[in-house]
Amino acid sequence: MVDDKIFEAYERLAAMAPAPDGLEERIAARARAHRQRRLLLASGVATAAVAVGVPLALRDRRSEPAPLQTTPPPAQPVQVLAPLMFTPSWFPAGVTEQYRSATFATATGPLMTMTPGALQGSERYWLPPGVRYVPGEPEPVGVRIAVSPRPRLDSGDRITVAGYPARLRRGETVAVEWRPWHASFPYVMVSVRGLPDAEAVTLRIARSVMYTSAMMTVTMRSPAVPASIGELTTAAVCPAASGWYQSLTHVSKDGRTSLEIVGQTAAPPDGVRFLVTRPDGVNLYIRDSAQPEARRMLESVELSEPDLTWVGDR
Amino acid sequence: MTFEEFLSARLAALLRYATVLACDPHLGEDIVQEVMARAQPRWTRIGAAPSPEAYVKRMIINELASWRRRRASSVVPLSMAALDAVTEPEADPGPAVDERDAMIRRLAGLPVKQRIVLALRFYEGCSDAEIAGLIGCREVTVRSHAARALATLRKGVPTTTRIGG
Repeated sequence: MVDDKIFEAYERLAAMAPAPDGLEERIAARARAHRQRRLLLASGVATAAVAVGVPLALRDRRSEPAPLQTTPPPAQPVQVLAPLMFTPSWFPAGVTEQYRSATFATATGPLMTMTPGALQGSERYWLPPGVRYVPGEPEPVGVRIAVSPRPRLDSGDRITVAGYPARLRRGETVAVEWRPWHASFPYVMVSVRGLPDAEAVTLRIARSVMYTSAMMTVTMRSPAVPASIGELTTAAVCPAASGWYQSLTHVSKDGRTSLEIVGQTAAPPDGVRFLVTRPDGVNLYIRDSAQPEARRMLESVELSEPDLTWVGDR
Repeated sequence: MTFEEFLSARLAALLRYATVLACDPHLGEDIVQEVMARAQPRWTRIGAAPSPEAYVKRMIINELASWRRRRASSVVPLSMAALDAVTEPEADPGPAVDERDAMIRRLAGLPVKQRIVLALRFYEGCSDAEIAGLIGCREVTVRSHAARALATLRKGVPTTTRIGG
């Protein structure tokens, strides 16, 4: 009796197997992505060597001093943990993680995800080979998951994700937003831009989203930022063409005041008002701030090489 | 046989095989995709094996087992008890449970090794010796996995594990 039911169950499962249409091409794409990832890894090692080696070599050769010499990097690497909170467990072929940001309470560290009303957020990008996320530039082709305390989609079709009410917005970027599980959780938005079958892919990623206890390692600290605007901090990190990029955005609890401090191995953008170049070649700057104490905040920043071991994972 | 010829001839069968083993068509597709993407660069060696399909099927079994280990180590699903402690659970708006699929859910709730053994025995028609060779254990272990799995299924107690989870 049980044996018959098992046979039937397997026959039904086999009948549910997906059709191979399109999978051959996706397998070829996966194989290509695998090869490119290995090449990128090899070139990444070379880039890192150049990123560290060139500034040191240039510093030795320069006759004039650097724009501003500040305190040397701390002997102990800065490490704070910030919660990522949610993660998809399914991705379309070929995309890998390239950017992540997460919010933590500046004074106490990780925010608990189930604190009702707590302002919290995280953002992550998974991008196809060769596509890079550059903060401040238009959204790239790929997959984005964002967690925020308030909904961002105020229009779109009403659907359900795992049984919970959600909004689906179609367009150049397909986005789904919902609040998983209960009212004290933040909102989760999955968006897909420029990938084939974007709507189906978005829905499938959304359905695979799960809570995660994984943390983002923050390797930057700005102790001189006043508590009034530094209650919450959003840290961001990603690889860059010439090394890496990391930033801290301090936000007051009411969300009205914010201050973003960036540290990067590349040259700073034009028009930056406050800039500090450290002896190791890292540029620290503050975007869009006229606060007189900005330079003091900048000079107090502690920063170490970011953890990029997750880059290229799924 | 080239990689492309193998894919063209056997992909549909491999998808059915992986779906049955995983008890989840999406997971089955992901696993086949992953395995074949990794098999392609090594196809010269795999294609020269006495049975490339058997080799690939073994890769699928290994991938399924390690896939679940990887997911378990990186993703921590929040327990329903923890959620219920914070707020009242919402009514499940999903469709009513289909009695026809009760056995599939029970199979999906079995530990992965037991599930693989049952799938190989009932769907693939493998002997205990063949199963032992495929999953790399002794025949007595295969019989033990099968006996435990069948005992669980005979109890007829539905598990709470979601399909593919």
